Formats: sequence, structure tokens, C-alpha cells
Amino acid sequence: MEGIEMLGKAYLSFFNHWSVVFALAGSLTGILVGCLPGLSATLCIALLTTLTLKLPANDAILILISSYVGTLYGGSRSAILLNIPGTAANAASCADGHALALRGEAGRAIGIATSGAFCGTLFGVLCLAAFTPLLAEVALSFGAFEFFWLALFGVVISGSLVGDDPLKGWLVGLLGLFVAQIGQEGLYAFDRFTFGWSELSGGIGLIPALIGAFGFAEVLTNLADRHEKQLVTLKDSTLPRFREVAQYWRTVLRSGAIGVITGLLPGVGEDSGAWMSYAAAKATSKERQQFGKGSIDGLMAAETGDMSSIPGHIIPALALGIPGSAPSAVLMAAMIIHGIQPGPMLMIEHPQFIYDVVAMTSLATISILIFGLFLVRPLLLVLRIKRTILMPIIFLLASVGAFASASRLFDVYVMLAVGIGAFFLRRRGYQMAPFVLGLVLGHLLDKSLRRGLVLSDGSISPFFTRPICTAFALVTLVTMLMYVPSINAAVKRGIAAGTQRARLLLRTRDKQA
Amino acid sequence: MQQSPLAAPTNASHGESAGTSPRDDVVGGLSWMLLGILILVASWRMDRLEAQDINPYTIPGLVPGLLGLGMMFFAALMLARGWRHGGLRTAAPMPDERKTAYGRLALALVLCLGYAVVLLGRVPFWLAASLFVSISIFVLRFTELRAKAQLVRGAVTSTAIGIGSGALVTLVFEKLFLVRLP
Repeated sequence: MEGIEMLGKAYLSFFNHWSVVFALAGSLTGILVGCLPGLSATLCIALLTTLTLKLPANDAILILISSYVGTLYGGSRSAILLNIPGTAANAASCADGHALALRGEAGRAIGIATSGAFCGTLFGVLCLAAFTPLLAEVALSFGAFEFFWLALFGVVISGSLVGDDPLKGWLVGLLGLFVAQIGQEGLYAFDRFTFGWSELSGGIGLIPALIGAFGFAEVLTNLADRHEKQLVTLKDSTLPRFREVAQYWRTVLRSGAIGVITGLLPGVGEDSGAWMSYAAAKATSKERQQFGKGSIDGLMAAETGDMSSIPGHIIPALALGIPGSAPSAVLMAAMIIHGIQPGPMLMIEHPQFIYDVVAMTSLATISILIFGLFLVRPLLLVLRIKRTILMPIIFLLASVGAFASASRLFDVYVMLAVGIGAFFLRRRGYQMAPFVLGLVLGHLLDKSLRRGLVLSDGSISPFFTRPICTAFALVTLVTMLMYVPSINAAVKRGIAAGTQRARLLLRTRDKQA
Repeated sequence: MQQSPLAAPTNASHGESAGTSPRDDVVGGLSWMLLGILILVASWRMDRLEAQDINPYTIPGLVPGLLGLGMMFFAALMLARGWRHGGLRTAAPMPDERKTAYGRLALALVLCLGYAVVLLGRVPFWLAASLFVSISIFVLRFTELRAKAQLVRGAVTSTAIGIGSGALVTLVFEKLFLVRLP
């Protein structure tokens, strides 16, 4: 009851013209950034974080959440019209969206993307309102031992699920954890790996590092590989297709749920939500053969899945302080800058804030619907800008964003170093999401392990015997062992034998009956 | 689709995995191994704060040392995978397309580093920004502009965009949102 009251209060607090202006401005910026292939939600939120430093916390976070929702929605435009996903999350929309565009139904595809995005985000918002307080309550019982596993589990899961190669994911996750150790450590303020350089004492700033990994690295990628693609012309109506939402309601609900669940997994990213929803829709659809050739079901699944994962990613960020994706990591950093510490204590220190975030996400959802209804064609002009013109301007903004977070030139150099490193790592198939998660969770892992060892007087048994720790340890270990071919094959053989034996047993029982 | 850490890495160039090969695994494995060893050695040699009589389980080098060990373990797996799939054989010559891409990359790096390391903080921000954007756009479009015989027009457009974006960024960040600029 108290929760509903706070939710009502949150919605009422955003019923003013400034909140509407901020939500629309954030969404519009997000859509424009999302439309441009290569520019990610992470970069957009990081740049806007520095721009909104002086605004009150709720206004700043409203702009950031709106831009997050807008970027992922905007990414579908270039996926449909250029066959290049605007953000990684829109890759699953390329096949069917672009196939529809080539058939002269680009407007219909954009309309479906709008309706899928709207319904997906709305579904996610409901889950955000329902599950964040529950998860935060569970997290209150977590101690140093549980937090150690949570941090390790996050990096391992992210490394396993993101990209093609888990080994690279784990290595880059370890690199992120290590980079987080640079600077003064949390227990004795001892300088680690600073080599007498006073600027390094404060550690590597998350925002400059993320702008480097997702901004500068992207600028270098775009300038090194220049591919200008032909834009498909828009001929038909782009209005959202809610009749098709009703027709594919099963897909919408299933993809919404998959998006939220994948969103809960640490550092997995929105693209997993989209791909898993797409795969699930393909497996159950009656028009399976149409997938990849312009299937409405496929496009609806991909768009609903990626958009519903946004609130899904915000749930663990708020309740546990563990971001579900790179953009939600920046969102978390922005909350900390504005004096709100996400994590289990949030429900005690700022209980209203959780419901404020629900209201902000709802407002962002309505904003993208407005832009989807009225401003599709003018916003597509941004797709005509040449990358050779756009990229220097993006780098200019990236340098300002890196500097503005702490007004230090050193942060610009951090951005450059991380960006160059990220560029070469990405060229070799390393994904940046586990690195980001490692960077965010490094301090938690360090403090939790050392505090846990003090509490247990050097014994590692509580790290394995406490119930939640046992569960985390088992999942982490099994996840890693499943990538060892011999173990994977043995497990598959075991499951197959078990299933066969169960079937035989059931058949015998049926015969006896 | 994901692959096992010990399965053969793909040569297929798709998305960010482009360019991965058994040889990359050997080079990557060796680099990670070296980094892991360096971290482990630095952590081992780190002050254990015995003078402060701290709990020995809270020494600052504990977690970095464990991370170094983890890195060495996974690096060894990567090395083994690369070696098993012929990563020690002589590398194929770099394709021309890749060489051109590296050329463009070098140019982009020179422009970006020139602005961020040389200009930023030394000249007024609006001037540094305008110079960087104007020069970058002109240089990056030079081949295209020369082919169309539009060098003068291109120079004027680049300068206009550069001055416009420098002024706009300064105005929006510094005057409107009160953010300090370099």
C-alpha cells in the first residue's frame, strides 16, 4: 500500500512542464544518437551526464533515462533503413526490418518497431515497479561474503554471455576488475599501482573510461572502416501498428518477459534480450519460414525484447548496485554523482527514488511514442550526415564529456588511453561489457573479499557454506565448467540419458496402469 | 553462437570478432600472460602495511594478486588453444584493405591526439575545438573533395562547420549548462 502511495506521488511530481520538456529533450537526443550507427546509449548517457551536472538529481536522471530509452528506440531506424543497427541492441531487427524496407514497407517496419518498443518498455516498467523493492529487500540480508560472489558472478556471467568467446570475456572482465584496483584502496587508503602519480590516487574515473571505451573507440572504428550505405526511401505510413500488437500479443508478452529476465543478468546488455526474444519467437511462430525475410513477428519480438530489457537492467542497478548493462553502469555513476547511492540501502535511504525512476521510465516511454507518431521523417535527416563530418564533432563532445566530470585534463588522457586500448581489443573480438562491469564491481569485490576474510578470521568456508553464497558459487563454477568441451559433452550425455530413462519409466508406468 | 574456450577460434569476420585467428590467440595469450605476471609480481612486492599492524587478510595486494593469477590461468588456456590450432605457423601477409584501414586509423589518431594532447588546455577551448573540427573534416574528406575538384568549397564548408560547432559547444556547455571547459 505504501508502495502504491509512493508511486502515485512519483507520477504526480513529474506532472509539470519542465519534466515533460526534459523527457522530450532526453528522448530526442537519444533517438538522434541511436539513429547514427556506431554511437551507443553508453556514450549518449555519459555525455549527457556531464551536461546535466548542475541540474537537480531528479531532472538529470529523467534526462538520462529518457536518452537511454530514446537511443535504443532510435537504433531501429538505421537497422531498418540502412541494414546497420544503430546500437548493438538493434542487430536482431536488421534482418526482418530491412527486408520489409526493401519490399517498400519501411514505414510499416518503423511503425511496428515503435509499437513493439512502446509495449516492451511499458511491460518492463511494470516489472521495475513490482520487483525492485522486493529485490532490494532480499539484498538487505547480503553481507560481505554474498557481495563478493555477486561481483564475481556478474563478471563471469557477463564474460560468458556477451560475444562469441567466453575466454576473451573473462579476460577482459579481469582486466576491468584490475583497472578498478588502481588508486587508493577502500580500507587503508593505500595507493595501489599509482607509481607516485598523484592523479592516479583517485582511481580511473568511470565516466572518462566509458567515454573512451564506447566513444573514442567508436570514432576510431568509424574512421578506420568507412562504409557509407545506401538509405532506403520511406514511402508508406510510419504510424505505430497497435492492431499488429493485438495480433501478436503472445510475442509481445513473451519477448517482454525475456527482455526483463535477461536484463536482470549482470552486464549482459540489451542485445541479448533482443536475440533471445527473436530466437524464442522463431521457435514458436507459425510463420517460421518468414523469419529473416521480413517477418512482422520477428521484428516485433526483437524490438520488444531489447526495449523491455532497459527497465530490466535498471532493476539490479537500483536494488543491488550491480548494473545490468554498460548504459545502466553510467546511469548508476550519474546517480552517485547526484548523491544517490544505488544498492540495498537505497530502499532505506531514498525509498521514494525507486518509484521516481519508475515514473521517469514511463515518461520516457510516452516520449518515444510521441516521436514515433509525429516526427519520424524529419529525424531521419540525421542519417544523411557523412561520418567524416560527424565523427570529429563526436570526438569533440567526448573530450568535453571526459573533462567535465571532474574538470581535470588527466581524465581526457584516461579517455584517450582507454579508447585506444578498447579499439584494438574490439578488433580482436573482445567485448567491452565485461570490462565495464569489472570496472564498476572491482571495489565491491576487493572490499567484500578482505572484509569477509577478516570476519571469518581467514577461513574461506563461509564463502561456500552460506546458502546464497553456495548458490552463487555453484552457478559461477558450473557456468565456467560448461565451456570445457569434455565436461560440456559429459553433461549433455548425462541429460540425454536421464531424459531417456525418465521417458522409459513413464512408459512402463503407463503400461502398468 | 558461443564457442568453447578450447574450440578453434573463428576466422569469420563478423562484427567485433573480425580478425580473430589461432595466431591472435597465441599473441593475445602471451600478452595476457605477461600482464598477469606483472600484476602478480607488483602485488607480491606491494607494501603489506606491517608497520600499521593490520590484519594480514586485508593486505592491499591480495585482490590484485589473485586477479593476476586468474589472468595467467586464462591466458594459459588461450595460448593452449592457439597452439593446438596451429597459431605458431607463419602469419599470412596483411591484406591491402586492412593496410588502408590502418592508414586511416593512423590519420584519425594523429588528428585526435593532436587536439587532445597538444591543443586542449593550451589555447582557448573555442579555438582548439574550431581548429580541430575544421582541419579534421577537411583532411578526412580530402580525397573525396579532390576527386570532385571541390577543394576550396570543401575548405570553406569545413571551416564553417568547425567554427559553428566550436562556438555552439562552448555556448551550450559553458553558458547554458554551466559546465567548465578545458
